[in-house]
Amino acid sequence: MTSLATLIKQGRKEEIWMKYCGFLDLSIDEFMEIQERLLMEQLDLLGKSMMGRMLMGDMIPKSIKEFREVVPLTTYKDYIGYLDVQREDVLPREPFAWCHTSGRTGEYKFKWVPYTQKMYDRLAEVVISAMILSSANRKGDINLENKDTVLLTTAPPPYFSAIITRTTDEHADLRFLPPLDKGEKMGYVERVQAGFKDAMILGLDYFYGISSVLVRIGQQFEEGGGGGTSLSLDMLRPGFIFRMLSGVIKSKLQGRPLLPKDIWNIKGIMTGGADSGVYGKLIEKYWGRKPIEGYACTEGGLMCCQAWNMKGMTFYPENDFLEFIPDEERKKEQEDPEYIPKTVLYNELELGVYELVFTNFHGGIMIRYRVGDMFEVIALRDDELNINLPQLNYYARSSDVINLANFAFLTEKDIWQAFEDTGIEYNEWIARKELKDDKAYLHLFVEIDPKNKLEESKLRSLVKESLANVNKDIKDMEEMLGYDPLKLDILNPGAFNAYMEYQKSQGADLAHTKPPHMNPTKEQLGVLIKEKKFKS
Amino acid sequence: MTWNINTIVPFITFFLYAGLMFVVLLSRPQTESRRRFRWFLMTMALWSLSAFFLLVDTTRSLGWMRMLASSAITMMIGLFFFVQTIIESKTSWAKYVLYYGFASVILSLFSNLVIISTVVEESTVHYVFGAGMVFISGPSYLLVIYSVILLVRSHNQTENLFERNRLLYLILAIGLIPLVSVINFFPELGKYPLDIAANGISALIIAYSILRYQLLDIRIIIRQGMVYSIPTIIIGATYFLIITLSLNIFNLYSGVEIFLLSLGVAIVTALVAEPLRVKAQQIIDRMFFREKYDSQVMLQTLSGRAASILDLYKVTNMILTEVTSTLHISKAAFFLRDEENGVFHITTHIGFEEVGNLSFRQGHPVALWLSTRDYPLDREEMEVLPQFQSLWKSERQDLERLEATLFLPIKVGSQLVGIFSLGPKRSEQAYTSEDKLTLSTVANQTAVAIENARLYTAEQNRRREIDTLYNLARQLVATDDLDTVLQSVSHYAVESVHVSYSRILIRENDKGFYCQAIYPEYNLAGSLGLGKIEPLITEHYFNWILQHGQTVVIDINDSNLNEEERQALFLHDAKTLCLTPLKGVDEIIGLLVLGEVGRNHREPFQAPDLRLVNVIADQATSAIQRAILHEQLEENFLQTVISLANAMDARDTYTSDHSQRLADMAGNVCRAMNISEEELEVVHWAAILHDIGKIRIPDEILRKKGSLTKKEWGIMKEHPETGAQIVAPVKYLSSVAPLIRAHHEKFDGSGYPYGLTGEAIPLGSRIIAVVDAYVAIRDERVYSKSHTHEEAVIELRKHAGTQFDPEVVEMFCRIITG
Repeated sequence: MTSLATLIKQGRKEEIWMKYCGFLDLSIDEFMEIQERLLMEQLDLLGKSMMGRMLMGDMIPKSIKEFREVVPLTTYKDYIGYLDVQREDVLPREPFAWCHTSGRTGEYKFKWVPYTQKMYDRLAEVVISAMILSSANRKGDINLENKDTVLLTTAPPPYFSAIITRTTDEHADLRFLPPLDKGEKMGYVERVQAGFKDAMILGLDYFYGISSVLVRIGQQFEEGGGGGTSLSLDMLRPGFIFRMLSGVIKSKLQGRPLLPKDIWNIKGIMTGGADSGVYGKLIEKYWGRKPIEGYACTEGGLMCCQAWNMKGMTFYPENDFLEFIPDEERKKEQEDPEYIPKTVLYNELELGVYELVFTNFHGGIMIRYRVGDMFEVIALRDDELNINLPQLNYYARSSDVINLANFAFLTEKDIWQAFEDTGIEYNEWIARKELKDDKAYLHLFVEIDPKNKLEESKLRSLVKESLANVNKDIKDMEEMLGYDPLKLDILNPGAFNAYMEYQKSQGADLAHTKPPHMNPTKEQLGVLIKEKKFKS
Repeated sequence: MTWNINTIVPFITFFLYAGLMFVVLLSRPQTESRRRFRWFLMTMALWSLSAFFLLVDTTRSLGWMRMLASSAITMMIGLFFFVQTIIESKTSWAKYVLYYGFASVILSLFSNLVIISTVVEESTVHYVFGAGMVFISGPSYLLVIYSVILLVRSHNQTENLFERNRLLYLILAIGLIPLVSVINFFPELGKYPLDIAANGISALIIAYSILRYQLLDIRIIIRQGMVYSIPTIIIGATYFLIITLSLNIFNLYSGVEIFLLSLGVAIVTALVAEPLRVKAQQIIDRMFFREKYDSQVMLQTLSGRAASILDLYKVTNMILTEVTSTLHISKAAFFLRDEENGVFHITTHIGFEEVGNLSFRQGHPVALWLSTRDYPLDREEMEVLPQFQSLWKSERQDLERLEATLFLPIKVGSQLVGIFSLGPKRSEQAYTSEDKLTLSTVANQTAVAIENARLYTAEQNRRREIDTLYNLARQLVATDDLDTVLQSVSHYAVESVHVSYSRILIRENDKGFYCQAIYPEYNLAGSLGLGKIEPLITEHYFNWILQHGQTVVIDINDSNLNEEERQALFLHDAKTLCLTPLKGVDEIIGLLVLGEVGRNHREPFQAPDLRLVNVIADQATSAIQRAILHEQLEENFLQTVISLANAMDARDTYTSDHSQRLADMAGNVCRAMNISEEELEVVHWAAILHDIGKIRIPDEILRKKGSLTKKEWGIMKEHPETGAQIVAPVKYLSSVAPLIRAHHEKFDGSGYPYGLTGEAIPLGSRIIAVVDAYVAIRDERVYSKSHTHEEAVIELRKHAGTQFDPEVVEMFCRIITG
C-alpha cells in the first residue's frame, strides 16, 4: 500500500482526497452497504469470542434486523470484570493497544478499551481525514504536506488521545511539537509551552485538541504575553526572526496587538467537545482560521467530522456500526426504566435529537454500546457541499442535559455560549439543577476575572439575557412558570485552582482534577465553594 | 557566425535541455522533485547556451566563459538538491550548500578567482583559470560525487525493478556530466566541446528514461506516426545531403543535369534507404511499441482460437496463457459466477502454486464495483475508494494471496459473469491505459467464449442428465431387488457426477441411518461403513437434512467440524461431501452421500452437479421404495405360504411339526454330504413346503382311509406341480420350486410328475424323498400303521437304487442310526 507520505510526495492529491475524504461522496445506500458488510464480519468475530457470546447469546445474528432485535444495548458496566482488568482471552481479536479515558467520577476511575491493529490504523486514517478537511477550502483541496508541524497537546499514554497522536505519527510524515518521545514525558503545561516554543522556530501547521487552549494562548497574545513563551537564545534563528518580524509588521499595520495569526499561518484546527462551537469565532479571531469540529470517544474512536464548510458533521462509515436512539424513545425509558428503547439506523435518521449507540468494527468489543452522547440531526444532506449523508451536531452528554420542569432543556453548550456572549472575562463555571419547594432552578456558579468589578445581580441579568438568546425556551419560562428559574453565584477568585489543588492532593487522576460543568455532585460543589458564603 | 561542430553541439544540446524542461514543465502535478528537476535542466540549458554564445559572441567571451562556469556550478548544486528529493534524504547541512552556491556563483561571475581570461580564436577557446578555481568549483564536484553515491546506494537498496531501471539511467546521465566536465581542467582538451557533447548524450539518456520508464512519473504520449516519421526524416535529410554534396562535387548548374542528378540520387536513395527505413521502423517498434505490437498479435490469436474452443476450462486456460506470456504477467486467474448462489469461484489460474478455494462472495466490494462498471479496477484505486473499506480481513488476505493488481469485469449483457484478475507485470511497470484497453478487449472476448462454453456446457449437462437418467431408469426398471437397485444407484452416481465414492444410507426407524451400499471409484482404505449404522456424532447433520429436506455440501476445512466428525463422515477419504436426501412422498427414506477428493481442477458440486445428484436421488428414491415394497410383498407372501404349509400340516394326517422335522433331518443329511449353505437353505425350505400343493386336494381324497381310485390318484399326483407353482412367484423361493416339483420322482424313473431318473432329479428332492419316506414309515398314517426305526431303515435300503438315491439312503441311514 502506498503510504500517505509517498502520495503527498508524488503529488497524487486526487487519490489522497479519495482515500481520506471520499466518504463524503458516498450515497446513503453505499454508506449502509459498508456498514452492513463490516457488521457481518464483526458478528462473525464476536460469535467466536467469549465476550461476544456472553453479550449476544449463542445465536449469532445473521442480519442487521436480527442483530437489533436480539442483542441488548450495553453500557460500560456490562464490560466490567473484563475490560477493566484487560482480559484479552475474551476478546474477538488480539488487541494491539489498550487505552483508557476517564470514567464518570464515582463510577470507575478509568474506562479501558482494547484497540486492534486495524482499529489503530483506521484511527490514523480518520485523524488524517480530519486534518485534510480542516485545511481544505474546497473539494479536493489538499494542503497537508510532509513534515507539517502539529502542536502536541494530547495526554500521555495510555490515554486515548495519546493513541490518536501515536497512530497519526506512525501513519503520516508529520512533526509533532515538541517531538512525541520528549513531549509524552512532560507535564501538560510544560508540553504546550515547549510546543509553542518549537512552533516559533519551525512554524505551526495543525492543531487538534481542546479549543480553550487556543483561546487561552490567543488571549495571552492579546494581553501582550506572547502566549506564555519566553524568549531564549536558542530561538534566535532566521526562521524565528523572520516570523516575528513579519508578525509584528502585520499587527502594526492593522493597529492591534500581535496575535497568533500574525506569527503562524495555521493550516487547520480540529477541536471537539461542547466548547468547540462556543469558541469558534474567538479561535478564528486569534488564529485566522475557524476550527472544524469532530467527535471522538475512547470506545468508538474518531467517529465523525465536519467538512470544510464547518457545518454539520458526517459520520465515517467504516469505524463503527451506527444506531441512534430517538429522543422520544429515551424519554420513554426515563419514565419506565424497564422500557427498551428502539434505535434507528443512519439511513433512518430524521431531524431531531438522538442518543448515539455503536458497535465497533474490526474486532473491537463494544457492542450496541451507549456512550452517553447525544447528537442533533440538523440536515439529512448538505446541499452546499452536495453531501448526501445526514449532517449532525454534537448536542450534549445525555446525563448532562438540565431539564427545567420539562419546559426548557439546557445543554453545556447553551450555558457556555451564554457566558461567552456576556463578554465578561471569566475563569470557569459550573451549572446545577436544584429543586426547592417543588420548583426547578438552574443554579450557576462562576469564577470571574478579579479585575471585573461586577455585582452578582448585574452578572446574573447579563447571563439571563444571553441565555434567553441562546435557548428560546428559557426566554418565556419566567412568565409561564411564574418564577425566575435562574440563580447565579460568583465564586471566590482562585476557587477552581483551589479545587484542582485539592483534587491533586487527594491523588485524583488528571481527568478528574476539574469539576464537570454540568451537575457536579454536592461533594464536588462543596470543595469548590468551601470558603464562600452565599446569599441564596 | 560560423556553424561548425563546436557551435552546433552546444546549440543542439541547448534545445535538448530546453525541450526536456518544457516536458517537465507541462507534467502534472508539479511535485517537489519535478520542480527541482526542472531547475537542474534549466541550468544545463544555460550551460549549453553559454557555451554556444562563447563561440559566437567573441567580443564578450570572458563574460560567457564566466557564465558557463557559474552555470556548471549551479547545475551541480541543483543536481544535489534534486537527488536529495528523489531519494528522500534530508541532509542537515543542505542549507550551507545554498550559501556556498550563492557565494561561488557571485565569485565566478564577478571576480578573477575562477576565470582570469578567455580568448576565442577560430572557434577554439583559450582560457586561464584563477587561483580560487579549485576552492570554488571543487566542492560542487564533491557534491555531485556524493549525489551519485546516494543514487547508487538507493539503486542497490530498492527491490522494485522498474525503479531500479529509472535510477540506473539517472545515474548514467548525471554521472556522465561531471565526469566529462573534468576535461575543462586540461586546456588542450577543453578547447573542444566534449563536455557539451557529453551533456547532450546525458540529455538523450534522460529523454529515453522518461519515454521508456516514465522517470519521475512523467508520461509523454507520442503519436506512433510521429515516431515512424523519424526514419523518413532521416532519409530525406540523407537525400538532401547527397544532392548538396553532388552539386559541390560535380558543379553542375544546368537545369536538366540537376533534374537528372536529383532523379538518380532519389532512385538510389530509395533503393538503398528503403531496407534501412524498414529496419529503423522495426527498431522503433521494439523500443517504443513492442508491447502494443505483441498485444495486437495476441488479440488476433485469441479471437481466432477462443471461438473454436467450447470447453470453459480450456478456453480460459488458453486466454490466461496468452495474456500472461504476452504482457509478461506473473499471475492471473479467472473467477466465474456460480449461477446458483452468485459466488465467483476461481476456475482457472496461472502462476500460483496453491490457491485453495478463493472466491468472491455475493456482495463482495470487488464484484459489486465491477458489476456496475465496464472498465478495469486498479488495486491502487481499491486502496483509496471508500467502498473498499468494507472488505473483511479475510477478504483482504485473499486479495493478498491473489496478488492481483488489476480486475476486469467479464460481462454478458449487463450481467457480471466473471472476474479476470491479473497480478503485477514481471517488469513491475504499472498497467498502461493501452494495456487496460487490450485486456478489456480480452475480457470481452472471454465473455463471449464463456457464454458459448456455458451454453455448450449447459447443453452437455442436460444431455448427461438425460443419458444418466435413461440408463439408470433402464437398470432400475429391470429389477425389483433392493440390493441391485442400491448398487446401480451408487455406481451411476459415481460415474455420472464424477465423484470419488458414493454411499447410500437407508433410514431405519429407531436406529438411525444404515449404510446399505457403497461404490468407491477406486480402492479406498476403509470400507466406507458398509453394513453399519452411522455414528451418533453425525446425527445433527442428518437431522438437519431430515428437517429441511435440502442437499448439504460439507467441506473438509469447515471450521465447525471436529476431528471425530470428519472421521465419522469419511471426510478423510474426500475433501468435499454432498449429502442429498432420498425424498419419498411424505418422508425421507435415506441419504445419498457423495465424496469428492478434489483431484479435479473444477469446483466440486457446482450447480449442474447438484442438479444431477438430485435427479439421481429422485430416481433412486422411487426405485428403492418400489424394491422395498416388493421385498415387503415377498415377505408377506412368504409368510402366507408358510402359514399355508403349517395349515397343510394340520390338515393332513401328519403331526403338527411334520414339516419342521423333515426340514431338520434333511438339513443334517445336507451337512453330512458337505452341501453348501445356500443349497442347504433351499433344501430346508423345500422340506418345509414340499407338500404345500396338497392345498388343492380335497379332504375326502387326502384323508381317505382306503386305496385311491385312479382319478383320485391322478389328483393326488398333481400336488408337486401345484406346490411348485405356489412358491415360484416368491423370488426368495424361486429355487425351492424345482425341489418341490420333483420330491415324488423316483430314482429309477417310476415317480411323478415327470418320471425323472437318477441325477436328473434335483439332489434336494432326492434327500427330501428319502427323509419323507422314513418319516412316513415311522409315523402312523390314515392308510398305514407306524413302524420301528429298524423296519424303516430296512425298507429304505430295500428301495435304494429303485425308489431312492442309494447314496442318500446310505448317508441318511448312517445319520439316523448313528
